[in-house]
Amino acid sequence: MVSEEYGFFIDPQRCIGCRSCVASCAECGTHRGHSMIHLDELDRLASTQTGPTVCMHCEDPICAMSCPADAIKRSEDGVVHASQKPRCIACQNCELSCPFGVPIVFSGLEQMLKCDLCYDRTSLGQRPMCATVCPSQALLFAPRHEVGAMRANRPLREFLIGSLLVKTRNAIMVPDPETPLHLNAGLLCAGDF
Amino acid sequence: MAGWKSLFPVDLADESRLSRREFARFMALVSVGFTGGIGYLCLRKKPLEGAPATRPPWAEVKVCRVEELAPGNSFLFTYRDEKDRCILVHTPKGEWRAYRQACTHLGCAVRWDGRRLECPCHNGAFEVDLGFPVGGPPTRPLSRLNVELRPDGWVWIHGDLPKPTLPGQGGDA
Repeated sequence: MVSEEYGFFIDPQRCIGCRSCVASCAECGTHRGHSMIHLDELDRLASTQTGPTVCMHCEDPICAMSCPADAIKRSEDGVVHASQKPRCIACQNCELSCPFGVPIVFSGLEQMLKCDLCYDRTSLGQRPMCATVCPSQALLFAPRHEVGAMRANRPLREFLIGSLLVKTRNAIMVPDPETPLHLNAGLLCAGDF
Repeated sequence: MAGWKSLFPVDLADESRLSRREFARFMALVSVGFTGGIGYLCLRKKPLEGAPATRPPWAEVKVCRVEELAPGNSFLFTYRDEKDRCILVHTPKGEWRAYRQACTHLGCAVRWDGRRLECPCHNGAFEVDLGFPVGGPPTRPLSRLNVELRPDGWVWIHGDLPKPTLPGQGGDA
């Protein structure tokens, strides 16, 4: 069980785009060869800025609620797990419903896999693979009360997606936490962010 | 939340509607029930209603008069019901034998040819003394019935032996 005390903090400002997290995620023994991390170039023409996306582990996981096969489950510590192989029907509902675009249905496996916070490691008290390798600690797994002293940015765990308020277990570090943060997909598509 | 949604909870902890403790309790109660039930049947020591009586009505049937069947002849009869066809043989040596008529190969009716029991379908043959196969495709012996000659002058058939007969088990008369 992952300690409630520990949080996962994503700081896109610190990301240098080295793709270490992507590589280490793929090396993990539980989903060997498949990386669960999306590393996106935010505005390739104007900037070198990249941003990692791992599962935010919502308090009301929309992927699980939209799953027709009851394959996505959340454990007691708030970690939303990858789909259960005997149940997943690879319908891609979770892919479409996730506001952060996290789940990936692997066509070869016919199964959805997503970041489960490296449950095999974090439940034993170790850090997730990506957090151990990130050279700039843009992906940080640390006690929640220590983050304030470590960073100037502040963690944010509430997001407005359209009119939907999403509360998450993982946090995104932002300079000036306007709570909740509006993530308007329409504006993002228009490049007006 | 809709009613059906509560049956498919998101949380792993709510997933199992039967805890391990409840399952163990259920299994313990079931085993206690079985043990008690079998113990009751043991103590009761008599069959339940509907169980067959120890000697069913067809346990003993009289087939024919002794003098009707000369040595070297056979007589057909039914034993348990109309479909249970059997054959009574008075061998040339003067012994009495009774067998199910069903050939152990494919169930055709065997017949007495004066020397042994033969099956016309695939040319199988059984010797008459114990019913063992002596020719053709059958590999198992005919099932045998006990023959008893009673002082009242009738030939009585009894015993239900679905298994091959061994020497000493059959009723010689």
